Amino acid sequence: MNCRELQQQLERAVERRLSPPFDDWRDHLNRCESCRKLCADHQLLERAVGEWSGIETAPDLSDRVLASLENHDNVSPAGAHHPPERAGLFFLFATIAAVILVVIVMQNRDVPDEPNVMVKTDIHTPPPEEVPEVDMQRVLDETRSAYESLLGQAQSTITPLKKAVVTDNNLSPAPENIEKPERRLIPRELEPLRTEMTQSFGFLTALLPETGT
Amino acid sequence: MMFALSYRMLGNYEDAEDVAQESLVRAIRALDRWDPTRPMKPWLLTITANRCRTALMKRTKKPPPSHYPREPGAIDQNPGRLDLAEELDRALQELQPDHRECFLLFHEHDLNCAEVGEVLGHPEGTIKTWLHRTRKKLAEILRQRGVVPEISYELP
Repeated sequence: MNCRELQQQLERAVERRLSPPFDDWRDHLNRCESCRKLCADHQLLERAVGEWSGIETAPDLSDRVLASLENHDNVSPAGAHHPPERAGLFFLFATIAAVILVVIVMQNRDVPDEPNVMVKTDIHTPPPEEVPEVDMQRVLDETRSAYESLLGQAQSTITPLKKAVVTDNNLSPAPENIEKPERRLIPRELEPLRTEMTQSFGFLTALLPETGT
Repeated sequence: MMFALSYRMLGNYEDAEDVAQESLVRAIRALDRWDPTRPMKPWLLTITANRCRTALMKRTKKPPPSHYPREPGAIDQNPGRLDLAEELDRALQELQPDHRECFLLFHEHDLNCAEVGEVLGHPEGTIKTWLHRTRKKLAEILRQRGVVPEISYELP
């Protein structure tokens, strides 16, 4: 047994709330002043702790706790832990902080360069002309009359040769018993021309004079 | 229990009452956060210890009580004894709060070193170191105050 072993055993006894084995240490204690002092201090503390008196709480402590709970519930029913004045300060500081934060963010925001836009101020835009209202019925009538006029001219030209019946916009085929006009003979030299015209304008075959001498 | 820890920590009856009341109110309001699978005593002492630390920090402008008077609520179970308990109370006020809490939780509230570590938020090894260091310091203070221990381990 040495001093270190004794100290360790004493500490373990304290931690485990056991009585130290003084009998086992007697030989060492009889010749070691420092360990005797250590054990004496231990006994002194144990005695002082043993003499600690109980402490009686105030008789109205439970009433005060209940009153405090009720007051706390009445003052802050929402469960806020801050008194009203502190909550107001908190709100004020939070608002200021938010404003400062927004300003900083707006200043540091990356704004893209705006394109150089040339504004031409000398562009002359003429005032819109007043468009007269179109009388569609009149246009339709005029168109129809012109069409009929053209048809009349064509009819006057063709009728002697070939009768066509034109009714409105429909062209009916000519009747079979077309009165054939008097045929004239053209020189044979013009036969190629007649053939070509016949191929191109077949419906005019009846109008072309026969070739002959 | 909560008042006793507050009283030993603060050394003042009125302050201890306020802290005990505040601690109890907080404990009741935070009861839903208590884990029923764990003992309630360390949880309550943790709340009380935190409130005591807060109260001690607020005392920076106000000096602690110069003496540790006997309060009206203290029960004198042994009128004929030496004022060893009072001396111990006064000596405790000379310790730093962490060590004082450690000693009180272990010796007065019978928490083991692991539980004390949970309350104070330190490892068990640290608590053991603090405990033995505090005991040694208290013994020195008591000896300086003239409290001479009786050597009872000497066998005839």
